[in-house]
Amino acid sequence: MTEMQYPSGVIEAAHSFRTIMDAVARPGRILPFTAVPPAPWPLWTTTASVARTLCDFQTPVWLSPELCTEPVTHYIRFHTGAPIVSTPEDASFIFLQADDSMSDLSRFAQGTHEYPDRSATLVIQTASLRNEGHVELSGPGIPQPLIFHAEGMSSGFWDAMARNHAQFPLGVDVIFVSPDAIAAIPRSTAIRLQETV
Amino acid sequence: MNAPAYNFAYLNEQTKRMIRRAILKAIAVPGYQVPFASREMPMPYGWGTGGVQVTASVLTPDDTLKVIDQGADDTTNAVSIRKFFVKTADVKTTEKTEEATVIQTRHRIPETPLSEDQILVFQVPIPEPLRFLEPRETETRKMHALEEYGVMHVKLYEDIAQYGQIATTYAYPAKVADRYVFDPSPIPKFDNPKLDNCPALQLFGAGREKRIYAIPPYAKVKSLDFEDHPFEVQAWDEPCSICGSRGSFLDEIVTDDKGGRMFVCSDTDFCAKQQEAR
Amino acid sequence: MYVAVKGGEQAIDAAHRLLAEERRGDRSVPGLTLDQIAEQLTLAVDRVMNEGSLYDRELAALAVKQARGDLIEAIFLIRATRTTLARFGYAEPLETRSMRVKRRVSAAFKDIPGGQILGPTFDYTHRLLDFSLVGDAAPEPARAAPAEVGIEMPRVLELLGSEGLMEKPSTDDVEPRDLTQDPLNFPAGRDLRLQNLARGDEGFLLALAYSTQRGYGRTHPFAGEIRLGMVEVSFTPEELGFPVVIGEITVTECEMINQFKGSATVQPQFTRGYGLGFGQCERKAMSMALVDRSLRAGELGEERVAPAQDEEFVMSHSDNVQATGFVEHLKLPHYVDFQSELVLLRRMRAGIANDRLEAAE
Repeated sequence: MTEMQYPSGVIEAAHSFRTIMDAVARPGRILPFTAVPPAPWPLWTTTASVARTLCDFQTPVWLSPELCTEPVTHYIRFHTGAPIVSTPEDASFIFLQADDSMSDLSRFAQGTHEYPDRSATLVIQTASLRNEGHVELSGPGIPQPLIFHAEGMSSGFWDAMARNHAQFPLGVDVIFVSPDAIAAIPRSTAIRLQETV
Repeated sequence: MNAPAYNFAYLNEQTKRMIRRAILKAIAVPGYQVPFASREMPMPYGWGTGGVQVTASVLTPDDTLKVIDQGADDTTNAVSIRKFFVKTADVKTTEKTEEATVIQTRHRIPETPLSEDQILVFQVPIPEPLRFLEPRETETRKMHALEEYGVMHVKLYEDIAQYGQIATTYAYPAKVADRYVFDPSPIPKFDNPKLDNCPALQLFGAGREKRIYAIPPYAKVKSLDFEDHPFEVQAWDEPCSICGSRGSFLDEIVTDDKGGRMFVCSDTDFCAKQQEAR
Repeated sequence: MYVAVKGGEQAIDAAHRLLAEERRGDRSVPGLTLDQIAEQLTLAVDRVMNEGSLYDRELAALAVKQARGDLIEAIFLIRATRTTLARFGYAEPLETRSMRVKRRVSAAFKDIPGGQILGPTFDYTHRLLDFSLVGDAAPEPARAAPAEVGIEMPRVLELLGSEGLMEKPSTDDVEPRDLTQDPLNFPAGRDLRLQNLARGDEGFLLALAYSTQRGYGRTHPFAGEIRLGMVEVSFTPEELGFPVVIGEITVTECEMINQFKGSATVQPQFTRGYGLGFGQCERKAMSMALVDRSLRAGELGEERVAPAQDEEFVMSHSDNVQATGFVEHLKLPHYVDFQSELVLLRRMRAGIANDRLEAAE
């Protein structure tokens, strides 16, 4: 069989999507994720890869103020064609950093009862992902309850995630990206904050 | 006139992104049917275009693909779909279930248990489990939103009243993660138990009806039943004539016009492995 | 000893070669050229472009040839081709007022500005087989009237509109959605309904239109205007920022004048139905206009009682590529599910037989 030559980015997007899909299908599992540079500061190559893989002219994007720099907006527009909106409730994809105040997830699109798929997907940059700490995840995709930690997320965020799950099937879905790994917590995942010892 | 050149796995990138987004939302809400803008494919609607679009959107060049129809790799439509992916994605193919990373199937789940490294893609004709009780999409969407599945239970119970048992033998409805009732595609109810707590990701594509849904790995899947009429699977009186298996789904082969019959495994790869083991 | 049947792949290859031979037929007969099909089976080509949703005469002629004259099979080929084409954007709306008219008639008025122009039509032919067509004798030359430059052909419905007698066309500035890019939800807007009807099966729409005339959702139609001719297609490229004419296409447009409506506050006016298609497709454009009007029942406050008014029913079943796919998929193996039914049926019958035996004892 001859070597097929596809336009650049096609195969990378296929691999990138498989990893993202695997992360959403197995919540809390931390998967190695590499991506091709360059990326605009302060986005990591991994975050930029998620944007390129999932965003396009059909998906309005909202960026947190710290991420909404000129290099990032130019990159998103040029590489994905996604419109960048100023109101988070109008966005399909929300890009955030771990230290962005996130104790209220209800300002993002939650979906409707007849179309729960119409909710936003959050992409959160965090310095590291580890299976330790005191956030316990369980639910579809998780054979045994799993401990999960994303660097820099506040306890207010985890309370908000528990409230997010409580309104299943509505709610947002979250993808965490570190410089070399990816994990996800969809709305179907139950969140339990263990007592700190 | 120039012949069009095809992208990897035929679909253009914008179509793949749209389907990929739908897949992610489907996994996040297990059993809920996500609408998607299904494309015309080179094979007819109703012949697996939904499964093909899902497979095309998840495939990478590193995958090994198995395609089956009625459990067999050599049925005409499975051959046709496998050739399509060889032509448009240059992907490795196999008939051995345990060697495959992506399995596209019509109307059966392989007998060989699946692993975490595998994805099972089902071809779905009618994704809506309530469709034959309520033809209107506007109504069924409300029923799912309100978790109102009464009409389904009534139908199953009416079967019991009329026939003494539930008369649904394939496309048997089940509930996933204690919320959405879904149609597992026209697999025989014999295969329903395999849906539950499965290590592989199960994706469902309906091209003509334009819906995608998913069962995450290890999700709880419970076939609908009643306490006094629990769900049960089919059984045969005789074993497979070729490999002797007593635990697999058997096809009936008519051997003459005097009522001659024999029974052989529908899953051809499983049957071949059982034969080797003997 | 039963040996499982193998060789599905070889069977398919052999079937394809046989099909190619049958398509060509008797080799001593000259093969069809695409020119012959495009020039002489024009209306077949027009239908394939319409329901294939792609304006390309050459591709449509090839599809007709490849499909051996089965037009739904040809439409399928064109739809599948359409999926692979790069999309640059959307053309400007066609301005049918500026059409280079070949045919233009109105049933609502005896005469209209610009005149009634019969053009090339079967309408008043006698449907008797013409055996002079067996050979290739040249037809008698047609007398063409010189094209009158600058002749005004205002639209009949606009003439009624300027008197206030016709409801105004909707003027909302909402971008029309694209049926081929977004999944269909109900209720659907008129933009998606018209797209669905434009590519819908001519026979299905014809039957629905006919049903409205026979009392299944009556709308009292009059053919306000039917036009056939060439219109310019314009496109505004991003980098230029202004529209450029990229070519001309032939379209058929039909505007129906329907039952008037009014209310306590609004003066009664006629209502409209609209049909548009590629090439010469009057039956299709007229059927489309009748069904369009019926489907507007909701916005016009009419009770939906008839199939042609049932939006979900009409739009879910109008696409013949989907329809034929699903109907013909019954040819695919279904023996696993049939086996399940056999097992159940035999068990039920054995159960009943047992009950009878026990009752008899």
